[in-house]
Formats: sequence, structure tokens, C-alpha cells
Amino acid sequence: MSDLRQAFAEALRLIFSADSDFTAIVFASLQFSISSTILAAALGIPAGIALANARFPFKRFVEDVLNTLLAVPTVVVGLFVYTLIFSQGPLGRLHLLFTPTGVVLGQTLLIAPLVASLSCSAIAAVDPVVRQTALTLGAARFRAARTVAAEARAALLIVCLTAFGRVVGEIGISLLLGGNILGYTRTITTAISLQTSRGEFALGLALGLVLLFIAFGINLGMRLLRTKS
Amino acid sequence: MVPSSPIAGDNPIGLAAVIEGRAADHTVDVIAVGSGQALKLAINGDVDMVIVHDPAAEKQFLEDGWGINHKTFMMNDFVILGPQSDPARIKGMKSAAQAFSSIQKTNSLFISRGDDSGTHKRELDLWQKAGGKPAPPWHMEIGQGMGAVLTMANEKQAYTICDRATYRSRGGQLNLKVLVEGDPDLLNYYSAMQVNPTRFPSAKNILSGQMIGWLCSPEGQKRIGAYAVNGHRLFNPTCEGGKK
Repeated sequence: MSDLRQAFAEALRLIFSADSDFTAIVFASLQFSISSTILAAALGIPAGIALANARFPFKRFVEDVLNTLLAVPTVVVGLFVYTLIFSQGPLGRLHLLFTPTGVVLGQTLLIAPLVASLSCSAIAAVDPVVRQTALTLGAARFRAARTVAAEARAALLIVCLTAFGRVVGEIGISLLLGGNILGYTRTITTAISLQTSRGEFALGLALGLVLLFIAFGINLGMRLLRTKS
Repeated sequence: MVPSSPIAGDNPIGLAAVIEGRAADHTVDVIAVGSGQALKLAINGDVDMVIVHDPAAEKQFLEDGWGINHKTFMMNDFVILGPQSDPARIKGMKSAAQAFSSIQKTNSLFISRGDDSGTHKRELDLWQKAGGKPAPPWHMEIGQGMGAVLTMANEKQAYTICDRATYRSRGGQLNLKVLVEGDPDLLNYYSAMQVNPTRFPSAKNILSGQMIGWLCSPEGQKRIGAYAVNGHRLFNPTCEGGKK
């Protein structure tokens, strides 16, 4: 028990003294997660808007595929990207395995479908009157879609926060594609997993607290956005 | 049926097979972890005996009264691996420390276990001897086992240090060459110890004692010496005419 208390005290010390290994790990996690969220938003939000506005024969099927992708475990995405970018893979020449770029690539592929699917729902949830009005006022279809998206901007931000929350806490991709290299690709989750398995509880606890704090921030942000919209 | 006896061991390739041959009458669980963690497990009372290769840590462990019946029962050696292109030009060097010094001077990529294992400790000893201070970005600590290190070194065409047994077991799939070997600094002695029964009365110390006795017996030593993967013997027994 005293061991645990000691570990907890040490964890707080790591956080408040801004220990260099500790901050490097937190920084890497944030850097990868923010990058992949931005990329996934750039891909997923337009796709979601297009899907919400489009009418075509296999729309339901496309939606089903997207929803299936939401449930794919992170290690499976990690494995898939690994086979693409390892030295013998089709993209092997780019030397992306065990680099930050590799991790961001994997994480983007993980959450892009999530962003697309949730954006599509967010757009569909906008009152149809908005679109109708825009069209009556003489807007072209594209302009009308933009008006609808603008109306849903709080919901789309919530989508991005959800995606960020999913990606900052994932380990399968970070570990398989990043390799837990200290000061380079060691993230909060890979450090928690591998350092704790070696009995270094303090660092794991400190990083766990940071993750909790991030989750709390995300939820707070979402609530503020919801009350605003 | 006797309940299982956990043995924490560093790099027990083949050892599990050897031990299981002996342990037909009771169950042995071999927990494969680095030496540092194996000793930690023993201090926490989670295992009955350990097989490790970190002489300095073993000495401390014995002096602190955690273990008894220390027997150095086999050895193999470490090798320094690297890419065929050998950017630090270490191929054929007789001194491991000199090779490390070249790797540092040329800032060549080096993948490190970074996990307190016996291999990691040996690596750190060699950096110290080389008068170097390994640092990112060229020195990459990954906090993982030998297998993960070999995969990454292969992928990045980096240097690393590895015990010969693990290298041989993966040799065919790797595009890495043995560049430095044979330096006495690279010899790797494995020892067994049982946890101190006065501290851990519940430990199966009779069985552990028998196991250690068997590892050092002519039969055990013969089995260790004969153990081979892909036709390569992995360990040399050390109990007769050797150390201790």
C-alpha cells in the first residue's frame, strides 16, 4: 500500500516538475492526436456532408460499410498500415514504419470513417427547413449544403472532439507503428502499457492522470458546444 | 500434482523446453521477462526462482538477502549487429567498446532495449566503457523485448546488441549482420537463484533447489549443451570445469 502511495506522490512530482521524459511523452501524444484529428476532419467532414446530401442507389450500403469501419479494433488498423509501410510493403521505400508520420497515418485512417459517419448524421439532423429556405432563396445545391453545414458547425466540432478522444487513448496503432521510441514515438498509452509492465507505476499513473484530464476537457468542451447550439 | 512453480527468466529460449523435460512430475511456469523485472518479481514474492544474466544486479540481490543458492550454469555471448552497409565501419573490430564509440561518433542509428534487462545493462556498461553518452535521436530506447528490438533494427537498418541465441533464432528473417563478436566484454553468463525461504516461507524452495541442482547436474548440463535451434547450439554449460 505504501508503495502505491509512494508511486502516486512520485506521479504528482513528475507532473508538476515537468519532468523531461514525461513532457516529451505527453507532447508526442498530443502532437499525433491533433495532427490525425485535423487530417481526419479534412477528409471525413466533406465526405460526411457529401454523403448526407447525396442520393444514390447504394447509399445504405456505403453507410453500413462506414459503420463497420467504426468497430474495427485499433490493432487491426495498425496491422493493416504496418503491412503497407514496412520495408517489404508497397510503401516500404518511404521508411514510415516506427516514425511519427506512420503513427499519424494509421490514426487518421482509424478516425476518418468515424468523422465521416458522425458528420453525416450531424448534417442529417439539421432542420430540413434550413436547406429548403436556402434553395428557395436561389442558392445552388452546393451553396445550400454549405449553409446547412454552417448551421451544424457546433455539432461538427463535437465530432472532431469525439474523434480526438478516440485517438488520444488508442494504443494498438501507436505501439505497432510507432514502436514506443523514447523522445520520438513514445506516447501516453504506449508508455503506460510498457513502463507499467516493468513496475514503473509512477510514470504510468502520472500519464493516466493526464489522459483523465484530457477526457474531462473533451467532455467539458462538448457540453459547452451542445448548450451553445 | 504439485501446483505450478513460477520461474522468472531472462531470455529463456529453449530453457523452457529443457526445464519442462526435467519437470514432468510438476508444472513449471516460465515467465519470460528481462533480468531487472525477473528480480523485481522475486522481491515481490511472485516467483520461486529466477534465471537471469546481470551479474551486478545478482550480487546486489544476494547481498540484500532476497536470494540463495546462486549458480552460474550456462553462458553464451552477445554480438553487435548492424546493416550490411555498416556506416560506422565497425565490422571486424575486436573491441565492443571501440565499436560503440564509432557508432556514436558517426551518429549511426542504434536501437536499445531500454528495459533494464540484462542485455540493456550490458549495453549501458559498454557505452560507459566507450566513454560515450548515448542520446536521442540516433540512440533509440524502445522499452521492449529483444524480438521487438531486432524487428525495429532490421526495419531501420540500425545497429543493436543482441544475445547470439535470439539472433540465431531469427537470423534467417533478418537483414542484419554480425559485425563484432568474440570480445570478452560480450560474454554472457546465466545464473539461477531461488528466493530466500526464510523471507518467503510459502515458496516451493525444495523443488526450486532440486531444479537448480538438476540444471548443474551432468544430465542437466548435457541437455543445455545439446539444445539447438536450426542446428545451432545456443548455450554452453558452465558447471563442470568452468565457473562455480
